[in-house]
Amino acid sequence: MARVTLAGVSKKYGKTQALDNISLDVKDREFLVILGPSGAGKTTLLNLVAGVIEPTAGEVFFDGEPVGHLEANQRNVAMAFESYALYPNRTVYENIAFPLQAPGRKLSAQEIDQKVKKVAEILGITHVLEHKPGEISNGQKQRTSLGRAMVRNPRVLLLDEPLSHLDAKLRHHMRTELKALQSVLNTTTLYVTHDYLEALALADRVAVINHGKLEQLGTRDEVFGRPANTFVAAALGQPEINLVAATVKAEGTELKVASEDGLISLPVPAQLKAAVRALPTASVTLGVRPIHAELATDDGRPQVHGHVYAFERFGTKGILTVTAGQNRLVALLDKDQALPVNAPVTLGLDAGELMLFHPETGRNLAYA
Amino acid sequence: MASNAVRRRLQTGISSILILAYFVFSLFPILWMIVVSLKRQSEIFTTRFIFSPTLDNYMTVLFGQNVAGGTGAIRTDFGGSFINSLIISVTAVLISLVVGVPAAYALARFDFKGKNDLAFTFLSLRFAPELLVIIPLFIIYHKLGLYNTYTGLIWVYQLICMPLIIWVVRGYFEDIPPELEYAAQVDGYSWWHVFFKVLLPLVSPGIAAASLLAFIFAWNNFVFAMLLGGAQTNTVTVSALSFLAAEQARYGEMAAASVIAALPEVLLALGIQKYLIRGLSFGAVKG
Repeated sequence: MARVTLAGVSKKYGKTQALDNISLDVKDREFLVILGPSGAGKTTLLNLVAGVIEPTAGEVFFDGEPVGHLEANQRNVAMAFESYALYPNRTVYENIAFPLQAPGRKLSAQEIDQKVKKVAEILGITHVLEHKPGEISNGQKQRTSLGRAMVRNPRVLLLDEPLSHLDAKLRHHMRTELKALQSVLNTTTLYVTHDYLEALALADRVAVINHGKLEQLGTRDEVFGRPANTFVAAALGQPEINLVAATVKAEGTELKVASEDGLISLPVPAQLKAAVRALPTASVTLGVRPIHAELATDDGRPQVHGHVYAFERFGTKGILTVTAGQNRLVALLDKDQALPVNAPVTLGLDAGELMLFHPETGRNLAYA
Repeated sequence: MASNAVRRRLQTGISSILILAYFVFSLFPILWMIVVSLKRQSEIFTTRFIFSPTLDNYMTVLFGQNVAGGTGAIRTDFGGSFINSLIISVTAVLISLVVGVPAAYALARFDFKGKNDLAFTFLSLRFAPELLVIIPLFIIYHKLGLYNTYTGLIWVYQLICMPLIIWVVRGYFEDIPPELEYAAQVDGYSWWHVFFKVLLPLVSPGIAAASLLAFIFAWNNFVFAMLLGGAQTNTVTVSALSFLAAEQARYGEMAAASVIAALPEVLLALGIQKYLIRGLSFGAVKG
């Protein structure tokens, strides 16, 4: 168990900046999810903590001690790779036992057997222990890879998109299993994913990464409710947040933000007024999450009149896309609605959940 | 459908016949060589397949006796040249492995300036015909005192063995994802342990295949052995030629010598033929 700290870590491959000045602190036994799109640098980050590659700049610390001089085999970390990286010529049993047989570890064959069998039981792969990786399913490979990482007691557990190659149903199942395993493992864990649902389900805190830069590090509520910028706002939440280019208008004492054609018009929340006034120009980016948009009722909420562009029904929910002048807004509704294409429709927006972002930098004005 | 089944059976039948024909065509010289090695000197120039076989040729070759009789019997130290071949070929292949396998790893994993040019240079050593370089080599060898030495021959045989080892094994290393090495390192193994415990077992089919090929080419080599080796370092290939004496060509004994000389390669190939096919195709096919 260890506290992991990255201080100004950068990694450059030739001309590509894979990681740019990342500084973050993972608390002991914390489950940190690293969220970002493909190519953001998440795997590079894990590889740096594991010690299989070296940073171009910056340092990695475990419990305050620098580990830059330690090779991967000396750091006592465990890693489950996205591609599983199972030894193809060894059975599942031997794969899981392999870390326990490393030079320097003095475990008897009996102890090794006990540990391997225990892990296999927890993960439900006891029946494939004598098979080789080429003979088992993806789900079983993933669990073997996880088992190999779990079988020792590492200081840090690194999981690189362990669920991304599984079909949807198995992914849901394994996500639940991982959540249950969290309490069993009780280790500092860095978990990489591009799926925000996994991030929200499993994380103590979330680090959002884009193009090698750390966009935000915060709890689930922070990254979802108070995203640092438009990227983070769009990264979490399905359907994506509605982002509209708007201008600030003063109506008497009221401050309002409205789209070009005026069809979308919302009052500026009190706590953002000062930040809005401090903007260099009158333009701003407006953000409303689809869950905060509903079919309008007479409850005094700001309304948007438009036409139905599309209404997609999924299981229990429906996604309504509305065209309002130049802009399209997406709302998450109940599926039982009669909303034919091109029918006129009015949306009611929750003004309290309005987010405002700087038009150029994308920074959330709530953080200004 | 009936016509499809019939057509398929016909196709299988025809392809079997063609394969058999090719089989006979390519193996016939070997069969003939065995036949000649068992014939008496008097019958050699006939084309009879039915004859009374004799082991006299083999006796002459192996024991140096003039069992076959007649004039112009030639004495050679076949046993000695067999041992020479063995020493030179095996050592050459071993050295190629010790140097070539790590080189293959470096070419597969590391990125450095001129990497592809270097790799191609290694391969190009196999393109050059030996006669092209033999004259300068001959002069250099005499000047360096490497003429007629084991060291000299083993060294020049690297031109034959090493490119094969490097190219086949490199393909094998490239097929192993780097994550596997990372996994082993994270599991607690230093780089050396990873190389020997994880990587080598995975490239062993490639090493087996490449070593066998390298051995066969080294064992069969004639030009270098003949022109850079002397009486003390005669290999079987050179020694078999001595049966063509000025007065008389002793084809029977030459055939017998060839059969014996080919035995090690054939036995080795039969022994690891399973790896050979897998090794040669796996290394070449990349995604």
